Amino acid sequence: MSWYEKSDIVNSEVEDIILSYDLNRESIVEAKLIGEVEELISENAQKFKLILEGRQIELTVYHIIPFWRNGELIEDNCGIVEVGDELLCIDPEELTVRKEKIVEIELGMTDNTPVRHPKSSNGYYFVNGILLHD
Amino acid sequence: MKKIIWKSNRMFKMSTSIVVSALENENFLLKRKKGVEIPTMKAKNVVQLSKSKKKK
Repeated sequence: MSWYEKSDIVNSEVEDIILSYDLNRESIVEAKLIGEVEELISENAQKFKLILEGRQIELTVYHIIPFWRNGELIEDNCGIVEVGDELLCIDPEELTVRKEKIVEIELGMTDNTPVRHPKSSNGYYFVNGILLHD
Repeated sequence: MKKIIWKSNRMFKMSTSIVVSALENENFLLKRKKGVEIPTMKAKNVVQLSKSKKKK
Protein backbone atom coordinates (compact mmCIF):
# COMPACT_ATOMS: atom_id res chain seq x y z
CA MET A 1 0.00 0.00 0.00
CA SER A 2 1.96 2.95 -1.27
CA TRP A 3 0.13 6.07 -0.18
CA TYR A 4 -2.33 4.81 2.37
CA GLU A 5 -1.43 2.41 5.11
CA LYS A 6 -3.53 0.14 7.24
CA SER A 7 -4.14 1.78 10.57
CA ASP A 8 -5.79 -0.27 13.25
CA ILE A 9 -8.86 1.48 14.60
CA VAL A 10 -7.54 0.95 18.08
CA ASN A 11 -4.50 3.07 17.20
CA SER A 12 -6.30 5.74 15.18
CA GLU A 13 -6.01 9.33 16.32
CA VAL A 14 -7.88 12.56 15.85
CA GLU A 15 -6.52 14.51 12.84
CA ASP A 16 -5.53 11.34 10.98
CA ILE A 17 -6.37 11.68 7.29
CA ILE A 18 -8.18 8.61 6.07
CA LEU A 19 -9.83 7.36 2.92
CA SER A 20 -13.55 7.90 2.68
CA TYR A 21 -16.21 8.18 0.00
CA ASP A 22 -18.71 10.79 -1.13
CA LEU A 23 -21.89 8.98 -2.15
CA ASN A 24 -23.31 12.04 -3.87
CA ARG A 25 -20.27 12.76 -6.01
CA GLU A 26 -19.50 9.04 -6.31
CA SER A 27 -15.90 9.82 -5.57
CA ILE A 28 -13.19 8.66 -3.22
CA VAL A 29 -12.38 11.46 -0.83
CA GLU A 30 -10.12 11.98 2.11
CA ALA A 31 -11.66 12.71 5.47
CA LYS A 32 -10.25 13.60 8.81
CA LEU A 33 -10.87 11.80 12.06
CA ILE A 34 -12.51 14.43 14.22
CA GLY A 35 -13.11 12.50 17.39
CA GLU A 36 -14.49 9.36 18.80
CA VAL A 37 -16.89 8.13 21.34
CA GLU A 38 -15.47 6.76 24.52
CA GLU A 39 -14.33 3.20 24.63
CA LEU A 40 -17.10 1.08 26.01
CA ILE A 41 -18.34 -2.44 26.29
CA SER A 42 -20.96 -3.94 24.06
CA GLU A 43 -22.88 -6.72 25.75
CA ASN A 44 -25.72 -8.88 24.55
CA ALA A 45 -26.20 -7.05 21.25
CA GLN A 46 -26.75 -8.73 17.93
CA LYS A 47 -23.65 -8.80 15.78
CA PHE A 48 -23.21 -9.64 12.14
CA LYS A 49 -20.11 -10.83 10.37
CA LEU A 50 -20.48 -9.77 6.75
CA ILE A 51 -18.30 -11.97 4.58
CA LEU A 52 -17.31 -10.99 1.06
CA GLU A 53 -14.85 -12.63 -1.29
CA GLY A 54 -11.52 -11.86 0.33
CA ARG A 55 -12.64 -9.53 3.11
CA GLN A 56 -15.02 -9.36 5.99
CA ILE A 57 -16.21 -7.14 8.77
CA GLU A 58 -18.03 -7.71 12.02
CA LEU A 59 -20.51 -5.11 13.21
CA THR A 60 -23.06 -4.75 15.93
CA VAL A 61 -26.64 -4.15 14.90
CA TYR A 62 -26.39 -0.50 15.86
CA HIS A 63 -24.10 0.17 12.95
CA ILE A 64 -25.38 1.92 9.85
CA ILE A 65 -24.04 0.74 6.54
CA PRO A 66 -24.62 1.80 2.93
CA PHE A 67 -25.35 -1.13 0.62
CA TRP A 68 -26.89 -1.84 -2.75
CA ARG A 69 -29.78 -4.19 -3.40
CA ASN A 70 -30.86 -4.69 -7.01
CA GLY A 71 -28.80 -1.63 -7.87
CA GLU A 72 -30.58 0.59 -5.37
CA LEU A 73 -28.61 2.39 -2.68
CA ILE A 74 -29.90 1.71 0.80
CA GLU A 75 -28.51 2.96 4.07
CA ASP A 76 -29.69 1.15 7.13
CA ASN A 77 -28.76 -0.93 10.13
CA CYS A 78 -26.43 -3.76 9.24
CA GLY A 79 -29.02 -6.22 10.53
CA ILE A 80 -31.07 -5.53 7.40
CA VAL A 81 -28.32 -6.60 5.03
CA GLU A 82 -28.78 -9.92 3.22
CA VAL A 83 -26.57 -12.31 1.31
CA GLY A 84 -26.36 -11.03 -2.26
CA ASP A 85 -26.44 -7.37 -1.28
CA GLU A 86 -23.41 -5.40 -2.39
CA LEU A 87 -21.00 -3.27 -0.39
CA LEU A 88 -18.64 -0.64 -1.73
CA CYS A 89 -15.02 -1.78 -1.50
CA ILE A 90 -11.85 0.11 -2.23
CA ASP A 91 -8.59 -0.85 -3.87
CA PRO A 92 -6.18 1.50 -2.07
CA GLU A 93 -3.39 0.83 -4.57
CA GLU A 94 -5.39 1.82 -7.62
CA LEU A 95 -7.65 4.22 -5.72
CA THR A 96 -10.70 2.71 -7.33
CA VAL A 97 -13.90 1.28 -5.86
CA ARG A 98 -16.19 -1.52 -6.86
CA LYS A 99 -19.25 -3.19 -5.42
CA GLU A 100 -18.72 -6.66 -3.99
CA LYS A 101 -21.41 -9.13 -3.06
CA ILE A 102 -21.91 -10.45 0.44
CA VAL A 103 -21.53 -14.22 0.23
CA GLU A 104 -22.25 -15.15 3.83
CA ILE A 105 -23.50 -13.58 7.04
CA GLU A 106 -22.68 -15.04 10.45
CA LEU A 107 -24.92 -14.02 13.30
CA GLY A 108 -23.82 -13.75 16.89
CA MET A 109 -24.18 -11.86 20.13
CA THR A 110 -21.65 -9.60 21.77
CA ASP A 111 -20.31 -10.55 25.13
CA ASN A 112 -18.44 -7.83 26.97
CA THR A 113 -16.75 -6.86 23.74
CA PRO A 114 -14.59 -3.74 23.93
CA VAL A 115 -15.40 -1.37 21.10
CA ARG A 116 -13.98 1.82 19.75
CA HIS A 117 -15.74 4.15 17.41
CA PRO A 118 -13.96 6.97 15.59
CA LYS A 119 -15.92 9.78 13.93
CA SER A 120 -14.90 11.14 10.55
CA SER A 121 -15.39 14.59 9.08
CA ASN A 122 -17.73 13.41 6.32
CA GLY A 123 -19.46 10.61 8.19
CA TYR A 124 -17.99 7.71 6.26
CA TYR A 125 -14.81 5.68 6.09
CA PHE A 126 -13.47 2.43 4.79
CA VAL A 127 -12.92 -0.24 7.41
CA ASN A 128 -11.18 -3.34 6.12
CA GLY A 129 -11.65 -1.74 2.71
CA ILE A 130 -15.46 -1.69 3.09
CA LEU A 131 -17.40 1.59 3.18
CA LEU A 132 -19.23 2.18 6.46
CA HIS A 133 -21.17 5.02 7.94
CA ASP A 134 -19.44 6.25 11.06
CA MET B 1 -28.35 14.73 -3.64
CA LYS B 2 -28.57 10.99 -4.06
CA LYS B 3 -31.74 9.49 -2.70
CA ILE B 4 -31.08 7.08 0.11
CA ILE B 5 -33.85 4.71 0.97
CA TRP B 6 -34.24 3.64 4.54
CA LYS B 7 -35.71 0.18 4.63
CA SER B 8 -36.57 0.01 8.28
CA ASN B 9 -37.92 2.27 10.92
CA ARG B 10 -36.07 0.48 13.62
CA MET B 11 -34.69 2.83 16.19
CA PHE B 12 -32.20 1.76 18.76
CA LYS B 13 -32.38 3.66 21.97
CA MET B 14 -29.27 3.55 24.06
CA SER B 15 -28.11 5.51 27.04
CA THR B 16 -25.89 7.43 24.67
CA SER B 17 -26.27 7.94 20.94
CA ILE B 18 -23.52 5.58 20.00
CA VAL B 19 -23.15 3.26 17.09
CA VAL B 20 -20.49 0.67 17.25
CA SER B 21 -17.62 -0.51 15.14
CA ALA B 22 -14.24 -2.09 15.61
CA LEU B 23 -15.31 -5.14 17.48
CA GLU B 24 -11.92 -6.72 17.10
CA ASN B 25 -8.38 -5.57 16.67
CA GLU B 26 -8.29 -6.72 13.07
CA ASN B 27 -10.30 -3.74 11.83
CA PHE B 28 -8.31 -1.12 10.02
CA LEU B 29 -8.79 2.26 8.45
CA LEU B 30 -6.76 3.45 5.47
CA LYS B 31 -4.64 6.32 6.70
CA ARG B 32 -2.62 8.56 4.42
CA LYS B 33 1.08 8.11 4.91
CA LYS B 34 2.94 11.21 5.88
CA GLY B 35 5.40 12.71 3.45
CA VAL B 36 4.34 10.85 0.33
CA GLU B 37 2.99 12.30 -2.88
CA ILE B 38 0.31 10.49 -4.84
CA PRO B 39 1.25 10.25 -8.53
CA THR B 40 -0.84 12.57 -10.70
CA MET B 41 -2.62 9.74 -12.51
CA LYS B 42 -3.75 8.16 -9.26
CA ALA B 43 -4.39 11.46 -7.52
CA LYS B 44 -7.19 12.13 -10.02
CA ASN B 45 -9.14 9.35 -8.37
CA VAL B 46 -9.21 10.87 -4.91
CA VAL B 47 -10.19 14.27 -3.58
CA GLN B 48 -7.43 15.11 -1.17
CA LEU B 49 -7.96 17.27 1.87
CA SER B 50 -4.62 18.94 1.36
CA LYS B 51 -1.57 18.13 -0.67
CA SER B 52 0.92 15.80 0.95
CA LYS B 53 4.17 17.35 1.99
CA LYS B 54 7.09 15.97 0.09
CA LYS B 55 9.76 14.14 2.02
CA LYS B 56 12.82 16.22 2.63
